[in-house]
Amino acid sequence: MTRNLNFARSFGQICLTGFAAVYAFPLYLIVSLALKTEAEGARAPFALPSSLFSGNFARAWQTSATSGNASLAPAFGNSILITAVGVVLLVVTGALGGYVLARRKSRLADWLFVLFLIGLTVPQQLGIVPLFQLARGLGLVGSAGGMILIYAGLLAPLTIFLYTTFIRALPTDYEEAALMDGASRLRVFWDVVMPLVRPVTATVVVIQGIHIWNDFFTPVIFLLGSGQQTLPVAIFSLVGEYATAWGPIFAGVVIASAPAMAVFVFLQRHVVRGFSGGIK
Amino acid sequence: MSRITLSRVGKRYDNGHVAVRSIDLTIETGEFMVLVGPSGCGKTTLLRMIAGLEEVTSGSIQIGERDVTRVPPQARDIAMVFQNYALYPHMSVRENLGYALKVRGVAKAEAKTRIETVAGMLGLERLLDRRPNQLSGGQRQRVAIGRAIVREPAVFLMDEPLSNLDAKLRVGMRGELARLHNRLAVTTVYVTHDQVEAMTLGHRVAVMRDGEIMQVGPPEDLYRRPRNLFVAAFIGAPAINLVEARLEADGLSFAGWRIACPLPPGLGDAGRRVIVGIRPEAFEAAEFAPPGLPRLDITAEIVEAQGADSYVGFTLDAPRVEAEQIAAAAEGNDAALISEARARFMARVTPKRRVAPGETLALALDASALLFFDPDGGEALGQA
Repeated sequence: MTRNLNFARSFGQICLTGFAAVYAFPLYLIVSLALKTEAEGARAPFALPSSLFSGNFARAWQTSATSGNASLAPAFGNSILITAVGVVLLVVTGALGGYVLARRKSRLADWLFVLFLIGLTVPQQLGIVPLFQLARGLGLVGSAGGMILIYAGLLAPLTIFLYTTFIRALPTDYEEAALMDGASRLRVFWDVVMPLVRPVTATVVVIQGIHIWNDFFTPVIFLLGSGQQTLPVAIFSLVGEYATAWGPIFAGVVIASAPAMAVFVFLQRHVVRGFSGGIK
Repeated sequence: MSRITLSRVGKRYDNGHVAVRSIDLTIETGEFMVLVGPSGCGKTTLLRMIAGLEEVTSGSIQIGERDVTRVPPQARDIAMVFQNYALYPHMSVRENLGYALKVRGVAKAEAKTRIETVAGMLGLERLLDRRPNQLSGGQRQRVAIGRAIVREPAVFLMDEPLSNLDAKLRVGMRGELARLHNRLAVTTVYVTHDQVEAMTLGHRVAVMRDGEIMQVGPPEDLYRRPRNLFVAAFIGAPAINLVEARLEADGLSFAGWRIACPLPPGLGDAGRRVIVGIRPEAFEAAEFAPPGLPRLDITAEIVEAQGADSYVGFTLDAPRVEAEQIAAAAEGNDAALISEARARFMARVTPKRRVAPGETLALALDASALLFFDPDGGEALGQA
């Protein structure tokens, strides 16, 4: 019996390791090619690098892409700016909105929540043309500020949904205790509710942050030709010029992936709590 | 002055449910008022209305000379202790105690002094840097009380603050709460469903049922002179013994016994049916009772020896009193777990008289302690 159990467990572990290897292989390929010279990459693409070559990173970071004036360095800055400000805006508006929707007992609040739920189900691409026309009319196209506002709107439904459902599950006693302690509603939100919803905030930061950071489709439409492009668009531009030079391209991918992975590793514990639990 | 005056206070929810019905109650400055009643009687709703956490749909609430009916909770100068303590989980004990002071802009040095004074008073000095999840139930309770005290408010509200503690700790904390109130003398409204807590803590106790106050008065009054069957059945542990009796020219008769005793005036004529209430301590083993008291011979069914007292349970040859008021009261103290057709009594006897189950025992009855109720409305009879 015990023997069968051990065999089943070992077999399961082997299968899982196999799956993990399949998923990890592209990551290995990207990092390994980013650390090889072009010659070595062409000769032995799947082998481990014979030595750690950093030239690809320097080339990707500094060299102009798209036959012109953009390299990864300014795109990196744009991505950081748009992602950071976009996520902060989403957290502030989403938490405030979610708090009101969770705590206000009115039909209007219920309907607004349903409206956000509908927003979750509608594909973004469906509304992109009218949204582009609206953004152009408001002068939001081609600027980082406009891009941030567009993200804050597009990603609001999921953010509001996460905050509302989490806050609904929180007991109201903490807020009532703070009211009795003399705090205003806004202060209750800031001092008591925000710390309690930290797991959701971590979830929003990771999910929405990675979404904005990796998004290719929206900035291509709203930022193209503006010189404000983000990392995914800039890396795509590299493909045109270095079609055969995979080293700098993969170095760019590594540069682009590193911050998102770091954030995820740092916050993953909170993210799991955000999805699974409340306050203990 | 922090007298609380409730004038025709009512609460009706949007769905039409009436939780509190036109309550008039004055709680004097420094008084410890307990609101007690079975689940769903409206006591917590009334407390939350005083706190400002629940909207008052009719009537008004005054604290001192100020009408606070529409004043938000943060402007009422009230502190509240919640049933589950509601300590901020992300703050240390020190921060929990100091939060109200911080919000009110109390100078840091003064806040520090007040926090340390309260921590000293409640034995929390060594716990100041801990988080609530690192505290035991009793310690959390102290912090919750400390958080209320540190503000020096005009009124304390307490919503079943001891209900999450184990029985032994609850008894200890009850004593501490009483001592604390004697020391601070702040007007306090305390909600509980535990009538022992109500009787031991309250200067006055308001017994509530279905959103109304059935009776308000000192605990002794509620116990000795309940205004109706509900109060009689709710107050007292073990519960009052009730049986239907018939008035006679020289006393009363019930369950085949005839008790010759003087009856209070105003009960009515001989032949009238009444419900008679007998507290367990109105009985005593006949050989230890003063001579001349009426005697009843009973067969002991259960014996509960509790050290200082022994309780003897026995069944009467009379039907159980079926009154809606008694059922409502029993819901509160879990007395009626088993449905019995015949009336069951509990008598307190001195532990010097050892009683075995099945033994026949002569009980003396102090007839001056009998209570009488109208079988129709449940109102008390023969009380001045």
